[in-house]
Amino acid sequence: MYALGIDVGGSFTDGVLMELPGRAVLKVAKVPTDPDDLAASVLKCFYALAISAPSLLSRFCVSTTLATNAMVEGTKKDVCAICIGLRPKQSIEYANEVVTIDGGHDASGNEVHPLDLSKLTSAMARVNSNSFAISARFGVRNPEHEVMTSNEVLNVRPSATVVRGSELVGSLGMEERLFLAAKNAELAHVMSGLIRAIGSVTKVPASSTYILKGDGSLVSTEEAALKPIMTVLSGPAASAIGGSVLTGSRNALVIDVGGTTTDISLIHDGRVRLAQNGAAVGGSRLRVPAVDITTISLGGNTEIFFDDGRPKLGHRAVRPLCLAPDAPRLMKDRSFLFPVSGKVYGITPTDLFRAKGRSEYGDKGIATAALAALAQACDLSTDELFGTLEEMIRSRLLRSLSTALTEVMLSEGGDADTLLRGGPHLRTVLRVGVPIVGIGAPVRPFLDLLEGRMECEMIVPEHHEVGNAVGVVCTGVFGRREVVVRCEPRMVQGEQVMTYNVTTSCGQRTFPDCEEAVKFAAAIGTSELRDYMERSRVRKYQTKVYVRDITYQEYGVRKVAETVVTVTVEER
Amino acid sequence: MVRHMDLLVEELLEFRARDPTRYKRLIQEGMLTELGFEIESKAAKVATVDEIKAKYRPRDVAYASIADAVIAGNRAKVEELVTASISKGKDPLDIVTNALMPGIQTQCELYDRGDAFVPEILMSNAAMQVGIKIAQEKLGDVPTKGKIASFVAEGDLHDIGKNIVVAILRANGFDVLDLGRDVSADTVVAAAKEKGLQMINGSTLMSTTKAGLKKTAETLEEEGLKVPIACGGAAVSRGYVETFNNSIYGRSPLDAVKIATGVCSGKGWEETRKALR
Repeated sequence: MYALGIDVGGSFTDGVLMELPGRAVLKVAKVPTDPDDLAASVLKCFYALAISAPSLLSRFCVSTTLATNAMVEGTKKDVCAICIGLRPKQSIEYANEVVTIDGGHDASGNEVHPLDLSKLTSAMARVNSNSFAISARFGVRNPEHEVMTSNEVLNVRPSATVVRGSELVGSLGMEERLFLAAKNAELAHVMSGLIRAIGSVTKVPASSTYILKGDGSLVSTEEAALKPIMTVLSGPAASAIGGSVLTGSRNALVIDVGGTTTDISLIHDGRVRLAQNGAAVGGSRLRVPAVDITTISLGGNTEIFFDDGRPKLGHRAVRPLCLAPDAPRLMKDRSFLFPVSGKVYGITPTDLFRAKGRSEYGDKGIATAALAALAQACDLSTDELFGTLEEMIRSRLLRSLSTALTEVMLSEGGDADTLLRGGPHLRTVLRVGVPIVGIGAPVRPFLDLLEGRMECEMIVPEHHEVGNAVGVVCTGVFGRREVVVRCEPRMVQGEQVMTYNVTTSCGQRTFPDCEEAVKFAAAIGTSELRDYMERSRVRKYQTKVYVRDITYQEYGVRKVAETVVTVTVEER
Repeated sequence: MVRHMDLLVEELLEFRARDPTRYKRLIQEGMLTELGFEIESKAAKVATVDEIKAKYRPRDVAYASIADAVIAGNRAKVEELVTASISKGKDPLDIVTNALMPGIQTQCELYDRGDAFVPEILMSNAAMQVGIKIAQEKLGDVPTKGKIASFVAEGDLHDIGKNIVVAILRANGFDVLDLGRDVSADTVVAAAKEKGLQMINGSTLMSTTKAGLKKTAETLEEEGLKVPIACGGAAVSRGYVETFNNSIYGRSPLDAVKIATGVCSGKGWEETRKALR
């Protein structure tokens, strides 16, 4: 069985051909990414791998930055947003049309207003968009009105793309869900376009093509086209899994050094740790499951410049001078030393490592000359400059590693940071309980800097430069569904009666008995996930059900507020 | 579950026979716990009334006498002293923050320890308001620390606790909108939207009505208002409040002030919750 994995990253697209289940790497490829044409980047990588019989591949797994880019940059906004039971507070700028109709439920899932379908029908006559995002007040507690609205929209426009907020996420916040639904509706076309483009050229059948999600699981192409938003931040998930696969460790701190950024993630018991409040993209939290990563602006291409008589390590990325095609011409004047806006080539850690002989990447003469010029400007000897720059890179790395391990961000130059940095008479050594695994092409010289400052196993595995692509192949299809049984008191003829409510895919069911409600919740969770596995063309899988009570004490008695039934399925 | 009543009584009697002083203290403290006092802090109480007064007393002699008048709840004296200070050219805002506020803070802390009672808080508050009014005439608007609403959950008519919290929050410089008792979640949410509130205080005495607090917290979250709710009251426990999001539990009126200070200075509910634990 041969499987192919391609990871489209910000700077490079990595590909790997592997033999499964032995997980032997047969071929690797690395091509630069064209951010304006992701399909072309995938295809270039595919050709570089020279696959002889695409139709014989058991699996073709792709991870793209498509959704992440779209979330950060925004796209063409060709969506109609339908709000049920709540007038949005802010103007909705992510949709070009907005329809607000009466309806919605309360926190217990009871109808507050009947759904005003006649208003919807009359509004539909004026709407031009063919994509619809629907979100109802407390739609996550009772999606009845969302479902009715969606059916009505499809009735009027059978070809429309309709996305309901509550089918994407289960968290409260109606406008957040509307935003996700709108983004998802918009991305659906782009994603299916990309999948089609890849399929038609590579000749890999759609039935064996899979896309990576942000939580590190694979989905079928059909599912990815329906819920493209779930692929946000799939790159970091791929690198975390790749790191753990290449070293074979079930617990590890994976550090992925790229061109622009370094991502650090934690693998625990063979699984990536997920972020508690969902993916952090472009400065805000999307309530979409994604890997918990610590990202810092440090990589092979981070700018090093001259400022106020001293060398500085910046935050933006430029291309390394030692890789520039016409470096001598660029170095004629001293502008390459300064943080000029729009600068393409500059001094970077790549140049530093080349000049010091820590890496073999680029032109050594140019790197040495560039750093000598910087040393002269700063009035330092070359060795002093190397020491200063290495210390800057080291302290930024140490600070972010401690952030990833403790989940507390140390302020730069703060007390804790000073202690971490150490001084001539204090050497701070971090003893880490898990091995550190380095992934990404320029990782080795970065990890070398930590020598003597970290007491743990540091592994840079073979094929680390295509670790992301390995991660894309070596994960599987799995799913997780939480069904909550909410215990809510109801007054019936002046007496308080406990009721147990379960939200289903089209409404809400109320039970008088807790056990029955839990059984029902487990049944709907299981059947939904089975359905999901069938759609993902997975035949052999394992289902597990966990029941957890959320309780509190009242007058010494333990009471249940809600029961969370978690169902998981995993490919075997 | 509660054990058999007879067993419980038997144990209690046995305990009384064995250690009568401790029994007496526990009984007293048990009743105080109902009202929202912490047993541990009372047991470990070291500061005396005078020490607390000394802690807040302003250095300035004129200011110290204003603070004393506030503690005594003497409105006429506060009026006289504040007018005199202003005519001497003192900054009205300085008088509010450094003379009137220390007075009420002393009273609040005394109340929290059980050395002052509700009528005294109300009297001190009234005295302070007189002073603030004079300062305000001179100054225009005294800046408030934040905009808050207080309510008692739907179906509950017990509002003594809420009234104390409202008085203490007002005394601490918050602009408090009193929504009254038996208030539905929708009324609270509508008020939050209309008045641009930063935080909401909800309380309830009965365990049957505590679901109203949860409903309010969830409705605020669903409507995306980013307004957390501070919950308290005899029927409300930390355990219960932490079964839902967007909420912070407060045990005493002073906790309400701490929560309000945290939330109104821009902290989220998670951070404030952690800070109070």
